Order: sequence, then structure tokens, then C-alpha cells
Amino acid sequence: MHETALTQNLINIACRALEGKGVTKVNSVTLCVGALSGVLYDAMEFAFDAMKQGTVLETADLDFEELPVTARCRDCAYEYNPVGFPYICPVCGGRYFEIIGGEEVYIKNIDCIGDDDVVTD
Amino acid sequence: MSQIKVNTDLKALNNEIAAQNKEKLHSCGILTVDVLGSPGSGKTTLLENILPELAAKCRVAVIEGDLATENDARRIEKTGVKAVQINTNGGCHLDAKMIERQFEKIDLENTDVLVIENVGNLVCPVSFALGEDLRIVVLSTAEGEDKPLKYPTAMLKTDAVVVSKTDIAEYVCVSTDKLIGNIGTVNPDVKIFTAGKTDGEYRAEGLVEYILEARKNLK
Repeated sequence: MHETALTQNLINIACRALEGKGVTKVNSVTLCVGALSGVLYDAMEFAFDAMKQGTVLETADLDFEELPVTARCRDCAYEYNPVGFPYICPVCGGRYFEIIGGEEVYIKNIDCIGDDDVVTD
Repeated sequence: MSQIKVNTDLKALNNEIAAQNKEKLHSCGILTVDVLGSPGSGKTTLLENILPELAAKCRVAVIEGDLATENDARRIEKTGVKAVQINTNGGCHLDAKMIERQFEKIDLENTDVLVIENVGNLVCPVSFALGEDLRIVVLSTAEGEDKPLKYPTAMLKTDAVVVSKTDIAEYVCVSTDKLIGNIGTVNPDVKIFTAGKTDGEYRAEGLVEYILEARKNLK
């Protein structure tokens, strides 16, 4: 339900990243979405299609890359991608963990066509 | 075709403001507690019942978040604790900026614990840091035993869960023990409290002490 707020941020961040780069057309924005982020892809896409109008992102598709949950075992420090609950360390069977990945929602990259057509970091 | 690398988190700005809020609140010696849970889980009822005891032991202020109405702020003020109301006008969660805007309405220099009651929602508020030190999820028995498994992020990203309405569990065919077991299945670290009426009196055993202890450890 918070996809609208996140999409507004997405558009602001993407537009700022494209500023001064001589971009003539944006093909796609790739968004990395953690499995624990609570983001609904359909809702995000819907919001993006509505909110991109009138911006440099107007022609862009939104692509998603899902990032798995990553837990670090508190007993043996092994990092693993748990599937289903309870989370159990595959190495030592430990039940206690820290979540170290899976909450992210970030723009990975933007594919676009520019005047100078060079890869820019 | 060009590829522009961005790597910016969409929540970066909120996280930044939340960190500033936290710094500001800590500089005033304030422990901030974010209370969240579904609509009707009993968040306001819990606060109405624990605030008199908490306010007798420290100076408390409350921020109430709701889509509409000032009902909850009024309910809280009846306990004698000052409350400011945020209306999100349909927004499904509070964000750090909304909290920052309330600071001028709160006597921060004379506050020890700031309690923020988030908008009723077990999904969205979890993703938005406010600057809190403690997060407490209120989950009522009436919501069903399996809710911890259906809303695991809320269980994973909290310090404590208050299982509320334990007094009506049997009437809604829910086992409080199973519900608590499911919370532990998702997050074995979380601190669990129960709340409800026992012998005609509302109790949330140990919760006030838990908050006071966290306030003490802040220093």
C-alpha cells in the first residue's frame, strides 16, 4: 500500500540521476526489491505508469529483481537464505539470527539512450 | 545504449530524517517507542491502560497517527498525557518527516518517553523508520493464530509483540498459546507480552517495566 510513496521517491531519484547526462530516451529502470520489503510489484508498476507521465521516465518500463532474505546465524556467523519459517542455520542448526538482507528497495540501474551514448557510473 | 548505475535506496531519505529525529530525541534524553499493529488490534486501548502507570514514573508524550479524526488523541489526553494528532488523510503509514514536524508541538526538554502510535496497518509502517528506539507490535488474538506467519516482516522487525485481547481468545476460537508459538517460530528473539482483562482489570504485565528499562539503558 505504500508503493505510491516509494514510487515518488523512485522517480525523484531516477530523474536526479539522469540530470545533465544528455539522455534522450529512457528504456527501463531496474529496481531491486528485497523479499521482506513488503513491495507489491503490480502496485508499484501501476503507480510508476501513472507517475512517470511528464517526466524523462515517460518511456521507461520498470523491471524488478527480487533479492532474497539473508540471515546471519548468531551462533556460527554463517550467512544463508532461509526459505520458510522457522529460519534454521543449515550449518549448525542455530535458531537465532540477524537479518542482513531482504529489506532493500533500490534502483540498480537505468537503461537509456543519450546524445553521447556512454556508460556512466 | 547507456546504463547509468544508481544504487540508491528508495527509503534513503526517510532513513536519513529518521536518523536525525533519533539524534535530536536522544539529545533531549528521550526514548522513542513506535507502536504498530492492524486497525482494531487494541493499540489505543493498550496505551490508555499503560500510560497512567508509565506517566507516574516518567514524563510521557504521545503522537497519534490516523488516517482521519482526532479521536485517539482525545482518548489519550483523558489519561492526563499530552497527545498530538497526525492525520495522514489516507496515507497508510507515518514517515520520519511527519514526526519531525511534530517536534515543535511537544515539550521535548521535559519528556522522557515519546510514544508514537502508528497508523493501523501491519504492513507498511514496518518499512518506515521514524527514529524510534523500540518498536512494539500489537497483535490481537481476534486476528487469528496464523497472523505471525502471514505477516512475518512485522514480527521480524520488532523488538516486542503485545498479544492483546487475550480475554476474548476463547470466544474467537483462538489459542493464545498457539499464537505466541507462531510469533516465536518467526522471530525467536522477540519479547512477548500479553494484554487483556483479568478479573475485570486490564493488564499488560511487564510492559511498563520493559519501556522504563529501555529508557534507563538509553543513558
